[in-house]
Amino acid sequence: MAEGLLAGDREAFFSTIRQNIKTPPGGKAPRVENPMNGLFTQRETTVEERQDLRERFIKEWTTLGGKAFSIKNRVELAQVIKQIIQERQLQKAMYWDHPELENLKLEEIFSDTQASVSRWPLEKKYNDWIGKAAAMEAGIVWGDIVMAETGTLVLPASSPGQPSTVCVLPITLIAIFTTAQLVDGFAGVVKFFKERYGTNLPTTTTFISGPSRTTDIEMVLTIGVHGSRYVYALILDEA
Amino acid sequence: MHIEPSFRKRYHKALSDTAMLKAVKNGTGRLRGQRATAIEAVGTERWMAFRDRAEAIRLHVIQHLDQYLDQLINNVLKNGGHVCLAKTGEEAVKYISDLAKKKNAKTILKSKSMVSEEIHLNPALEKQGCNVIESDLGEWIIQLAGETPSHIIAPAMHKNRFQVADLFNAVSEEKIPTEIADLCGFARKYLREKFLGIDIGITGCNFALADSGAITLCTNEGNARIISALSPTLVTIMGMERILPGLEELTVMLSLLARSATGQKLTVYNTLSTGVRNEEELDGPQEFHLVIVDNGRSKQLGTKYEKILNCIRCGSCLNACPVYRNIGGHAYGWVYPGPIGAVLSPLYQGMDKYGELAYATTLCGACTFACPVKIPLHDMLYALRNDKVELEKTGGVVEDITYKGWSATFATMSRYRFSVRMARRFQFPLVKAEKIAYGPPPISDWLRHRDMPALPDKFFHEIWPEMDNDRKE
Ligand code: SF4
Repeated sequence: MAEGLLAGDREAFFSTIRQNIKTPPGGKAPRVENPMNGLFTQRETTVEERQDLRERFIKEWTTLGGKAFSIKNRVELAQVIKQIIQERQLQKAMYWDHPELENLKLEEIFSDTQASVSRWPLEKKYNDWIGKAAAMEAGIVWGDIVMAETGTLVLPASSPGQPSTVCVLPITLIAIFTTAQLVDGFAGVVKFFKERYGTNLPTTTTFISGPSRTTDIEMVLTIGVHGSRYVYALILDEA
Repeated sequence: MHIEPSFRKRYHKALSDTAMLKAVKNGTGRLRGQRATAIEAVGTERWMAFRDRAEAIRLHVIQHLDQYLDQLINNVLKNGGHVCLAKTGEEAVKYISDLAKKKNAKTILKSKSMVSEEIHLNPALEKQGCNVIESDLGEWIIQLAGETPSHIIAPAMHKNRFQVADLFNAVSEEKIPTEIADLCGFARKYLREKFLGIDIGITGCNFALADSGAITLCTNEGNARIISALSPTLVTIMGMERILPGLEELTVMLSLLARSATGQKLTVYNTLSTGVRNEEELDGPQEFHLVIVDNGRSKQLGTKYEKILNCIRCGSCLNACPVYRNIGGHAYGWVYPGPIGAVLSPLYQGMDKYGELAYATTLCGACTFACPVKIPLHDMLYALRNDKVELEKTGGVVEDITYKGWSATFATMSRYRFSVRMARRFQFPLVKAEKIAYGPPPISDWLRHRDMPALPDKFFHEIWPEMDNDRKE
């Protein structure tokens, strides 16, 4: 990718900063080694412990206003998806181009329902896909990593087929993942990011904790003002 | 106490707006309650550990700001983004206005950015024909009302549903009911159309990560997330202090920010974005501009006010402040209200304009205690009072003589006792119902808002010898 351009006088901008920064009598504050130490749960989890994390996630997610389902097999997955299609009266849905979602053969599940499902990209040109994406009533994503303590989906756009548009434009969001994706909280996420990306982060990563909300009118909690109003978490057994 | 007439006018206006005062009391009360519950869930000890860590992180960054800014700039450029270094607000506004002209931008959608308020960006863009729309619901409401935010995280806290319905009806073709859900539904529909026709998106910046060049945006509504996904050209404006070294430090700040602001464990949408989309990607900006604004910030480095740059704009100090809770945000005059505003406004905009805000405090320290990054706000307000007095010697000759006389009188016991005897004898024309009721300015000013008891027949030091004698007998 071509480097960007710098506007403004870098020297002048920095000279005031450098002139003004002083070293206090005790010396400058050192960088905090291990800033997360002792603040976040740090552990490797077993399959059984992740069952508990699933319960924790479900509790948080539902408190935030989402719905969550524990799912044992593909038959149950199909049933739950059909239930959501019914509940939300869905006509059109789009899903991430993700190998895990591919394995689930979503088209097959949708084929005997009223709703159609399309895989991203919907079109190649902005002007063509934007209208189509805006008309989609549901977005289906794979939860690459999920925090139980806060009820948070962590969605890195790991490939061009996994854009944030799918998780934020439609009024309904359906996130599918297995218990293997569950971590306690930020410590697990940072470990995952360090291992997978280092400091070379994906263009976007979206952390979603429940439905879009506002309290901007009279401090009354109202759901779904811009992002998703209905959020579903479908948690598959990792086996 | 010397208060500039403009501030007096502002707080008098605020005190007469009972609907606003009720809304602010209700809003701040709720936010305080939610924060307290969140802290209780974390546990006080762990919460204190979070605050200590956050303070240490911010102190380190601010004292090494040049290094982190350098690293950030290099990484943003490497990621394909453009960077504008703006020493002043005018430079930032010019850069963004020129960009809008170059792009022939008609529709500009914004997510919340306090810096953009600070530099008066919207009027400049509107002047050149752009339709600038705030997408945060609260910001949009006050934009329609032609007002400025009254709270950092709840900008329309002072408006009720009926006022909001009136504002929405002015832009709607059909009549909107006053139910809050209907009002939000209308905002979603109306603004969604605008999102889909966006030419340039403008966002603020909660935190920039130096080691990757990523920008973090936190919104509960998801508007910033939509803007950064759909804008062909994206501009992010950041105060130059809003930097963190990397992801690990970010997790500490995000955990504190949401809990301090609204009592949530995390904001609903936290987005990390490195700017320009890859060639194969379809959403995300084709062009990304990071505008880094100084506008008075570098002057605070190395001073006794340096720690004010630690602020993460959570709004918690506003909710804690008894003054803010009783006058609301607009009385503070500039864009930042409450204790943080009372410190920032004189520092960034000048003591002459906003020095009087140092008196908009009871110095109770509730703000300092509420601050997640441990900024000693009330100490700073006290220091600002001293600076103001030093700078202006507010009372001139009269005040000088008064204080010299005062100090001479209190220097010896005999003079003090003599003056008290005289005052007691001659106070009667000023006394009503055992209180000093009248007096010349500036005493009359003081008396308007406070009770001053009349001098009693006997002081404690006069009664004490008698009591002591009684005891001995
Ligand atoms: S001064 Fe502290 S409490 Fe106030 S807004 Fe800034 S970070 Fe929050």
